[in-house]
Amino acid sequence: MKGAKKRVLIVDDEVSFTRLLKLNLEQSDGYEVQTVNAPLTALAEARRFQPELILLDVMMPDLPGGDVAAQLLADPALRHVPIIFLTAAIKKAEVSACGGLVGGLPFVAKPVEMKELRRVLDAYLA
Amino acid sequence: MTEVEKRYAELMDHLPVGVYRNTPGDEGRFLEANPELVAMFEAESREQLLGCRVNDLYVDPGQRKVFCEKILRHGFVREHELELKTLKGRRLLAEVNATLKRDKGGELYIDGVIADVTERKRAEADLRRACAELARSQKALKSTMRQLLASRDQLEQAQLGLIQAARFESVATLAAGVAHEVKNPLQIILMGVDYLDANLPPESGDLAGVVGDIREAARRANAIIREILELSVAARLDRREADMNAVVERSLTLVHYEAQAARVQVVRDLAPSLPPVLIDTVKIEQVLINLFLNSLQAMAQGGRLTVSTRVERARDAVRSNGASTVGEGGEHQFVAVEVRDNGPGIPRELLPKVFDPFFSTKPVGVGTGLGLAVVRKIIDLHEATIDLANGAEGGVRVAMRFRARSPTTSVMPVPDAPKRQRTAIRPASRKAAILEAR
Ligand SMILES: Nc1ncnc2c1ncn2[C@@H]1O[C@H](COP(=O)(O)OP(=O)(O)OP(=O)(O)O)[C@@H](O)[C@H]1O
Ligand SMILES: [Mg+2]
Repeated sequence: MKGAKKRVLIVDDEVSFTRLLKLNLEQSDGYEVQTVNAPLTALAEARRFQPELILLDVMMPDLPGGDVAAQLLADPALRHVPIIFLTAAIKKAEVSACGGLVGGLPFVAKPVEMKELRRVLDAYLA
Repeated sequence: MTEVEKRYAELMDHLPVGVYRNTPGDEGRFLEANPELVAMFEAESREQLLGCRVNDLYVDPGQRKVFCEKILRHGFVREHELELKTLKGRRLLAEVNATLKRDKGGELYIDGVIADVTERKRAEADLRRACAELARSQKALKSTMRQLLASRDQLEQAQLGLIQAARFESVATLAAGVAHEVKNPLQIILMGVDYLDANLPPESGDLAGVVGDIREAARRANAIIREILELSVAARLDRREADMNAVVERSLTLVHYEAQAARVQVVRDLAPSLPPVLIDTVKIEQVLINLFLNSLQAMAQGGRLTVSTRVERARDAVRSNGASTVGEGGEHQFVAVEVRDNGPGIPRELLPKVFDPFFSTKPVGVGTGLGLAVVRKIIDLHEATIDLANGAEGGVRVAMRFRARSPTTSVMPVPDAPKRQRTAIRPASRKAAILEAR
């Protein structure tokens, strides 16, 4: 494992998902995870936490993932933090068909297993 | 005149048919004529008629010759039709019944009755014409009727197709909505399983098995959802030139384990060099795997799975797409792929249903009934054709035809298939894993 823990912010309205994802990532002691279940507070939390990577759910009530991403990208301090979208509304085949990018941003299709997710995270945090 | 003679004379005078006696030959003349005959030929008087040659009453004297020959030979004529003309030149059609007689001096003469059948003949001709006309219009009517029936059948067929398509689409759309909803809970289950798996105490025994079972179940559920979405999402094809034989080989590799487990012999009958086809190889592999799995599942006690490819030439059997090339004489080249098994086949009454989404005869957990629905959808997207039937020697025979890319026969290199991520797979979930790896 590398020295410093990588800080990952997870924005997803599904509480049990964020809790389990945090548990999974943190037990491999490479990550420090912060979770956000209310998308309207995502920007503030990101400014405070200063993540190195953001996992962002697409379909959320109140504020869709796309809008959250726009907020994050508009912030000079967060602009360079990679965002990976997580969504159930897209198939793996479609993700790979467009090289894992949709609208220039990377996507991971739900459901995803830890093995694959870790591979993606490692690729972006390397 | 005697009383008898008078009666006969009176009879003759009033008969509404022409009665005559004349002599045969070119110079033949009338010896007797009743008033009806005089009127028939528009003569001024009986004397005028008796004064003229019989030949003069014929439109064509040749007919008279024929008439005389006939009566000289047979001694009589019955219902003999003649074209005659009156002394004033009006034409008439006459029907004659006559007998040949010989007088005491040995001279031949003819006694006959003659009826003007002009009107009757005209009516008959009119009737015949009307009949012919009727027959014609009846024929036209029949063919119109046939056309109508045919187009009604076509319409019904199209309507059925539409209903089928609509039902298919609505089932697929509904299912897709549900599928998306199911993905999130599945995600939680998989995350939970990952966490449990990573935290199992060493020597956990049964626990590891239980966790593994849950993971398998979640993956299977996910594979089903994937299939459902495959149906509904307007799938984008990533079409490239590919060699069908290579696609067949790769697909066979992926079901190698199942084939062995079912003790099924796999027979390859691949044409040595196929023209390239423009296909989404991943999706066509999915098609083949679905067909292979169906066959393997039908032959759980062993059997033979035959895959053949060959080049076919045909006139436009498949909707044209821009990429196709027309060979000589408007013929197209097709790559035909056939998957055959010698399992039990499909009961006739079930054949029309096998492509329906969710139609399955397999127990829950084994079959979702989406395999062939997905196959059909993918084949349609490729503008290819698929034909599923029971084979002549039993088993099921699935024939597909893809339009060849160009008339050249060289085998094109197949672009690298997307990297497959392979995990250890248990037989029951082999298909799920194959789909998972997509
Ligand atoms: N090769 C075959 N031999 C016998 N029956 C077949 C064969 N292929 C298909 N069938 C019949 O057609 C039905 C529908 O097939 P389909 O592939 O659509 O669904 P399934 O195999 O039951 O489930 P799934 O493919 O979703 O796992 C099957 O349940 C089976 O009854
Ligand atoms: Mg099947």
